[in-house]
Amino acid sequence: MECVPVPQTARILPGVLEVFFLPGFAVVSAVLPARDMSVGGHLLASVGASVAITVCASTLLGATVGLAQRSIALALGALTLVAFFFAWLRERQFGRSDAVELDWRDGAAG
Amino acid sequence: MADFRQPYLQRPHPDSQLHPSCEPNRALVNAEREPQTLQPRGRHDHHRARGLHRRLGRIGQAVAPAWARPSQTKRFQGPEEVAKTRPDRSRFEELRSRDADPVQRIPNEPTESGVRGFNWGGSTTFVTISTALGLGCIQIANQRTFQGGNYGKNLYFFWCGLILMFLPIALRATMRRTPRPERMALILLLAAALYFVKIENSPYAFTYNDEYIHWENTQHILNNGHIFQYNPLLPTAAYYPGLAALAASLVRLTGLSIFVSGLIIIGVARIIISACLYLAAEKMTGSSRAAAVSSIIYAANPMFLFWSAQFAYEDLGLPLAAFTVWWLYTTRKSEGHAAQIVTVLAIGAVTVTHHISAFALTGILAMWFLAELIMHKPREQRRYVGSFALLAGASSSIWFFLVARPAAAYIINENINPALREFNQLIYGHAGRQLYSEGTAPPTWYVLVSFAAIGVIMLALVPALYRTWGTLTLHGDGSAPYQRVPLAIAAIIAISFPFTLLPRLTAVGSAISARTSEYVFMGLGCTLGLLALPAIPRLDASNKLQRLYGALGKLFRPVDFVLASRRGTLVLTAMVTVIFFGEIAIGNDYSEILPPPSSSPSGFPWIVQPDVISASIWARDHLGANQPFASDFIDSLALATYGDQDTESQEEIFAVFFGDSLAGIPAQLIKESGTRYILVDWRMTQGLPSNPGDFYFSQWEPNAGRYTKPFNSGYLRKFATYSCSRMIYNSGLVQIFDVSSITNGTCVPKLISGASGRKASLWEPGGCVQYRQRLYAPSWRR
Repeated sequence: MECVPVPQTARILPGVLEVFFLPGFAVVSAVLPARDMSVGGHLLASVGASVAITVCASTLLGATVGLAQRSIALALGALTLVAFFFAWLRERQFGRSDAVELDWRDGAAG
Repeated sequence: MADFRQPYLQRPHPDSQLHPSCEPNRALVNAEREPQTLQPRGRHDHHRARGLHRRLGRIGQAVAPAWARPSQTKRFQGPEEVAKTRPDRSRFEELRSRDADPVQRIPNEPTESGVRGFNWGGSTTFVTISTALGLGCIQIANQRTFQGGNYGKNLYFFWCGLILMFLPIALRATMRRTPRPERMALILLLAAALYFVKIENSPYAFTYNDEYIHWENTQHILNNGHIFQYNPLLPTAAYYPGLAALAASLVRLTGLSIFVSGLIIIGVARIIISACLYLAAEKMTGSSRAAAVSSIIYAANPMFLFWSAQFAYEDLGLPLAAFTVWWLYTTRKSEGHAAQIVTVLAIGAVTVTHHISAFALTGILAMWFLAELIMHKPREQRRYVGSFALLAGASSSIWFFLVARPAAAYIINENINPALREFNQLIYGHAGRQLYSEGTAPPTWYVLVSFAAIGVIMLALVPALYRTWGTLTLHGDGSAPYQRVPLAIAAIIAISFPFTLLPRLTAVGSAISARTSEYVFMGLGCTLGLLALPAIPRLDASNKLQRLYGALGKLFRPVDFVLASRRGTLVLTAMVTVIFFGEIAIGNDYSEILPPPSSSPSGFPWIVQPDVISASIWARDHLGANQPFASDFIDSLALATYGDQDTESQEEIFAVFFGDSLAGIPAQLIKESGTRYILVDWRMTQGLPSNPGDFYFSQWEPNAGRYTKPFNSGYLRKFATYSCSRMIYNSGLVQIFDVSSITNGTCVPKLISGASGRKASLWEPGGCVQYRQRLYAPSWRR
């Protein structure tokens, strides 16, 4: 399959998000009820979990099939989608019961 | 007498800005008292939520956290209705209420009236401008030194810049009425600003020794796609590929260079550790002000400014370990086990990233578990900690002993044993390391401020430990002492601070002591942060311990007086400022704070020089990659990375460079190691080494850590005065010799007749090449 050439500058933002935010955001949304964490906490958890996930995924790829652009993009992308799916399932199951937890005063950070 | 506890427990301050997880039943408490507080605060917030909801799309709506959902679900529900609609969480609510954090016992801080976020018109703007000016001053200092300006004068610019950055942030963060979000933003701003100081120091390429090691690792992964490739600079690093694999992933996905990717990774890691420490300290102390003091003191550790900002595995491993502890601390009371998937991933990431961080994480989790066990925390509330301590211990040990096999030799034989041996000698009366004796002698004020920092820490530690004791023993508010276990662990770590200073009296141990501070200052910060809390009132003594506590309390009344009200803010600011600047003086050699001049630096430079980079690139282009090279420690970094050469281990090859003769042991070593080329840097003969451990090649070399004069020039001259050694590159101070004829056994080195009379000419730039040209010229030209 031929790769579509993408300008390097256009790859920076998606690449940074894929490594530092999206996998963690998806996984944290899937595993933790939103009511248990505030905005700042959720952001911090997303970034920290993303770094942990990418380290594990890239180490695993480097030890097995090889760490290349396609393999790491597929691994992180697939993991993100799967985690988003579980988050969606979880939200369908428990979502409405969290309504009362919204409190803007506490949502500033932390 | 017991009334002082009642307001803290029962009546949270209406303006409290503490984290909701610090006050588990906050929503219900508010619902009973002030139903309107559950509504969004205004129209702006309502529209913000709807806008964000639209932008997130369908998937985003499903997974968005509660704060980002539109307001149709925000109809106020009374406590009864809440109980009906909520799933069965009674067990967890019960656990939470029983295991209420100590925050409820500590009075909430007053905040600026009417200001819940940032004071954009005043303090925030001032602090931001001041930080920018500080960074500007530091950039001027770096630039002028790089261009060959007076080091001492430029250093004043540097300190002025740091003061402009640090002082306003410290003052504002320790003020009593600063809003919580602003405090947290200030801590993150300080972490980011200090990171920019390091970037200003080396803005175009990696320059720190450890950065070359991990750059080499990343290059190998990018070239081959696989981890565990041999790293000649530090074989152990290849077996901890977390940082290099992360950097390689970022390079592959974004197309950025390794240097830029490394800067982004370490910047993100720094934000993670600063935020995690702040939030954890806030939860432990129950005060955003105390958390701010804790975070500032952590940022004052001697390694934070430069060492912890380099592209090295510890600077990713430690933030990941901090994240693991924070995540576990925050989520272990959550329903179900799903949240702990992230803990497992984080432990795995720490394990493959850095050995010491993995062991430190194991130690902290084990201490946490044991402390809760000793303090009789109910079994059902001791969730996960023991299991994860076991998991972290098992994974880090298995990786360390079975996968990363060179690591044990590196840690034990090259770091711990030499330090212990020197320390042992020190105890038995041998002269230890003379402090501040390396490199350029620092001015008196530089030494004084470092001792002042240690003095202030030791002085402040006493009342801080007393307050820790108070929070641990005085629990008449109904909460159990096990709820303050993290504070007890922090205090134990803080007590170890004076002992971690002792290895500084030895040459090898100074590096270990410095690196220990990154871990010790976590506990130290949390303990000293307690000084930002109001004094804990003394109870009626009900047992011996409390009577002793009360008796000692009289001694600390002056401290309570000094730390009260506005003067307390000034005292705390002064304290953290002295600690910050003193620890920078402790952690950094006076002559190495600013970058060396770009041309003709005096003495033996502590970072790779451009002419060595040129020589390395020449070697790669003309000799090919992966040639076995021997050189000094600093130059081997450039040879391995820019030159892509296989540098020999300095521990095995250093003896080649010692002695006047190339025959005998040096030739034998060259042959045994397979060395084909030797890079000679004549700057070694002009200055003392100033790397940690103070050596040119290896810590095992003669005089390592005890050099009083530069390297003997006769030792380097032998490569030109003996046969079998052919100079193939010369740029004045940097030369490359081909010794492959010794390696393959076709030549036995002998002193070239008449060579000794020409030694002086070797000192002149180009003199050596002229001399060698004469020696190796065809006979008809002689």
